[in-house]
Amino acid sequence: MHWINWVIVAVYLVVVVVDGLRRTRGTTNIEGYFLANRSLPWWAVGLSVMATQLSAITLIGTTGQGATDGLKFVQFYFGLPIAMVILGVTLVPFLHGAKVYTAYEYLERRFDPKTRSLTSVLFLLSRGMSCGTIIAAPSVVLSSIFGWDLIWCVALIGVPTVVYTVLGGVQAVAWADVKQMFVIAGAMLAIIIVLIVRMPIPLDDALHIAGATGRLQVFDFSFDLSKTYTFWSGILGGTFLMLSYFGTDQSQVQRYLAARSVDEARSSLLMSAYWKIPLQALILLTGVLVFLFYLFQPAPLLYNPRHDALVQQQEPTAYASLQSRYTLAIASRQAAARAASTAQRSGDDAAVASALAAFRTSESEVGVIRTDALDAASRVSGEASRDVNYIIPRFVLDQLPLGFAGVFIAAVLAAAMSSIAAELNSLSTATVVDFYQRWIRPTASDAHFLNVSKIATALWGVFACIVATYAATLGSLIEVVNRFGSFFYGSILGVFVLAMIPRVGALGAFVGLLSGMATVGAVAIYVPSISFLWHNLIGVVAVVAVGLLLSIGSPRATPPVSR
Amino acid sequence: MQAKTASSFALSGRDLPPTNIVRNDVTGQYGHPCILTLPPVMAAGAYSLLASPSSKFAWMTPPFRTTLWRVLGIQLVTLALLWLLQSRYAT
Repeated sequence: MHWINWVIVAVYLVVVVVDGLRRTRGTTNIEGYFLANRSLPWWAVGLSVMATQLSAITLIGTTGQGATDGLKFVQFYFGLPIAMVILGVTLVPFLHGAKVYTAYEYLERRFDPKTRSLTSVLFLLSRGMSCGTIIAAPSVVLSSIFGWDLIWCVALIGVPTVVYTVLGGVQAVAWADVKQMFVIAGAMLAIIIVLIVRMPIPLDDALHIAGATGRLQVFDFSFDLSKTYTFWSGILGGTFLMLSYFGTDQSQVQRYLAARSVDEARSSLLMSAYWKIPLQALILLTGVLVFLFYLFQPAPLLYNPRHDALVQQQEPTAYASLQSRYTLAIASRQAAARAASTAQRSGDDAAVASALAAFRTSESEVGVIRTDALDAASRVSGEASRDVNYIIPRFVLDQLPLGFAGVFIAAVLAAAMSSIAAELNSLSTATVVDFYQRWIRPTASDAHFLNVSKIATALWGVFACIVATYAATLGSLIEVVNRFGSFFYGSILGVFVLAMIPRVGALGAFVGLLSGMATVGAVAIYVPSISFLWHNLIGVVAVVAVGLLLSIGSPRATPPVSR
Repeated sequence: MQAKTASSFALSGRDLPPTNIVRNDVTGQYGHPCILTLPPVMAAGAYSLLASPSSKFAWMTPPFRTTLWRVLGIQLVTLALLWLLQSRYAT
């Protein structure tokens, strides 16, 4: 990469860290460190929520997914605005009004300490591991693209993030998120503009070609529980997933607890609801445009340069054969795409139909060769190919004008750092407030808790970097923990739903939580055909049903706080 | 997925919609039956919720109500744009 691109990346890193150091001035007590003294404006909290959710995996993987599968993934987010509105009128006023530091703290006030501790442990377990994967995913891509050792890529992302999060607390995290959101949006816009300007055929014709491959098929109204992305799984399953994530995950809850008032907290969530679907559609559409761009440019056989080199080295004959078939196939596909564009302009429907059918045939041929190449890559590397994650980085580095690649790398770092910082801050909060302060040292000075919080943040940062460094070795373990973590989301939401029902007591909540987790685990093991998006809904229903059943005949409890 | 698209394309040609799409006799537009009935139902539900002066919606403070209208508006516009994109280009 050109040195000017590296200067852009370096300037970005320096600005983020220096700004984090500047924010330490407002952080002299634990409430300032974890909740910014509940002083953040709604728009900053809203951008922070969005930046936290938009990780580097989204920026690299989702655009790649758009290039290979098209827009259907956007259905996953259809439930998000509904969830935000529901949270805005239910959980946000409860949690903000309770003046708690963690969502789980509220559960002790409403139920008992063991429900609080169990939910907090589940959060620490799943988020601690996922923080490692959030660092690992872009690190692996950068390592492969630039040929660096993985540990240096982990350090490039992890060290500055840990430094500004430890020193500046939530103030640094939130204000860095705001800047990072602008960097990400700027990079995406720049890529889209370049793609449209450099498209060799009219955009309308290009979109017809993309449509012919099914990539612009957004809505799938089939009610099939085994399909992951349908309109109904997005609206129903997605709503419950987003309710669980934004309502009970401390990394999200902590953002809006830092808002000035309940109204500002609600508005910040709704801001995320405004833009998430349009932003996600735009990211996927960028992937579709990259697919169209590569119809007219020599596309790599394998986008992952390390895998490409490995196959070339270990199976040279097979690679040469694949490469020669691929060269012919993409030349034929390019000719078919140009013929389809010419037919579009002629206005002859029969000619268009025939040209698009020919294009689909040539696209299928390219797909078959790519599948063979990906199989070879998996065989020689001994790992899943995940080539989709390399499509956008390769496009950016090979095709974009000078400076754009620097902005894109800065955006990838920004996306990773914003998610990691929020998670480190929330992991530290749950550790200190739910465990250290609750069970080990209930009374101490504010300065003591502030120091412990900084140490906890640093330790979680080191843990995340270690997990990221050994991500390849720990791959299956991390996946298990992540899957295990996703089992909890719906069940934890179920406990918060029970908290709003006055008759439910501590026994109902605790046993309900365990039953919900067991039910989701059983469904995942014995009915694996049910897509994961439905697990949250199943978890909520199981927890609420068991909780209510165990609370029949119990006296009506008075909730500890109200709006 | 591609095979299905290709065969339905070959059988129906460009002017005929896929099988899960129906034609609205009033507007002459094609769309899924659920989508055709959803907007009026959603609009009626949203109106009764947001515009009601009833005291049971005391949580609906003016700033929140304004933001909520914007959210609903942006989502409907986005879904409509995605629907138009699919209707025009997906074959």
